[in-house]
Amino acid sequence: MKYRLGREAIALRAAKEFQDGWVVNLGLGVPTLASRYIPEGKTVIFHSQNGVLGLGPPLTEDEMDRADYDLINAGAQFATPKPGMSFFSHADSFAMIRGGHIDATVLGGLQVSERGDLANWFSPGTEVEVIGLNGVGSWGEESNCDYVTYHQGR
Amino acid sequence: MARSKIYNSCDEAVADIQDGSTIMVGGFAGPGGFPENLIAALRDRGTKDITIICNAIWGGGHTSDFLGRKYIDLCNLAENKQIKKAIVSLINDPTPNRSKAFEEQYRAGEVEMELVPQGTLAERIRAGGAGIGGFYTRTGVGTIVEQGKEKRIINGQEYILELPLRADYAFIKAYKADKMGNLVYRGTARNFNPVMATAANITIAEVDEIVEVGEIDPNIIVTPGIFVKRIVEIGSRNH
Repeated sequence: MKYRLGREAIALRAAKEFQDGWVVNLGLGVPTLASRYIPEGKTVIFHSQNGVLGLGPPLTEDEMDRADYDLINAGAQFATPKPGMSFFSHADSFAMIRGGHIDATVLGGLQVSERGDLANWFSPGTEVEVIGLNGVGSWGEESNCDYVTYHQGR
Repeated sequence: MARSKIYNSCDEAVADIQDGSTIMVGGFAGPGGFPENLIAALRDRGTKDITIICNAIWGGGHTSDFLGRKYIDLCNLAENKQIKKAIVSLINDPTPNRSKAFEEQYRAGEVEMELVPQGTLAERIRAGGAGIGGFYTRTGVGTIVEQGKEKRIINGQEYILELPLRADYAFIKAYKADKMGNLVYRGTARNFNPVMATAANITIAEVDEIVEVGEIDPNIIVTPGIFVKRIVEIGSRNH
């Protein structure tokens, strides 16, 4: 019998890879949760493709009184502001990604092969959950690329 | 004296938009930085055969509710069959009450869609606004994104040519404008807005507040007024 890891457990596992001083892009879904689990004693700065560097973790249910529609992460969740945070346009955001200024990305995927090929934007023939491309994963060769997905999907 | 850039309503600001127009729409996901009042005006005007260039067509359509706040999203236009083509980085989202109108029209062959990697979309718009004839990128190499595109080896790596995007109109959501159309943004609501403002023949900005010339510190202006033709004050709703 196979067991499926929960969202928080996957996020915690991904966060164990973070090294001190890294700038890490977090994608939609489970990856945004990894911002809750920075390893103790390490400094990690998070980047979100929608134009923010240095944001904090998603707000919890109890913190919703601080919700700001103008402060969301890649998963369109309300995020926590942090000192030193900066905002910029999508063009500048992808200059950071494609220009090699980001140390690692954590992104969601639909399927990963044993060689590390990633299917992350289309599921043919099924009712699609997400159709789209963000162009972050194609930089896996140059940045450390963590794929975060549920083992044993649909 | 030049005509004032200030329009009294979004209806007035979109009144000349003809069927078949290409329109860029700012925003990322949800209401932050999304010009929902201009979209509502375009919905009411009933303009047809629109080509939309935006990050995403998503949301709940006529029932749209983003994290507790009702707003007008692009699915409203899809539900009214006003969209002919979309140039986007994604459609749909994981929310349970999303509108499937555009996806269903695409699967039925009623509308066209060009999927563009999100960073390539931003850069194509930037190129369109800056008069750049195109650029080479590695994103998409080895996937169906490269089909039909010129390839080139640069420094030993394979790149594909991507061409610029321009539009007849750009709909922008900014935080504040002065009467010259200088814009500042707030938080992650900046997203695609500054690049789109540069890449359309007529850029229309809806803003929370219009202030007098000189009231915004020139050091913090993100979009200079030269890029903005029309501004509409809608009041503060987003935060």
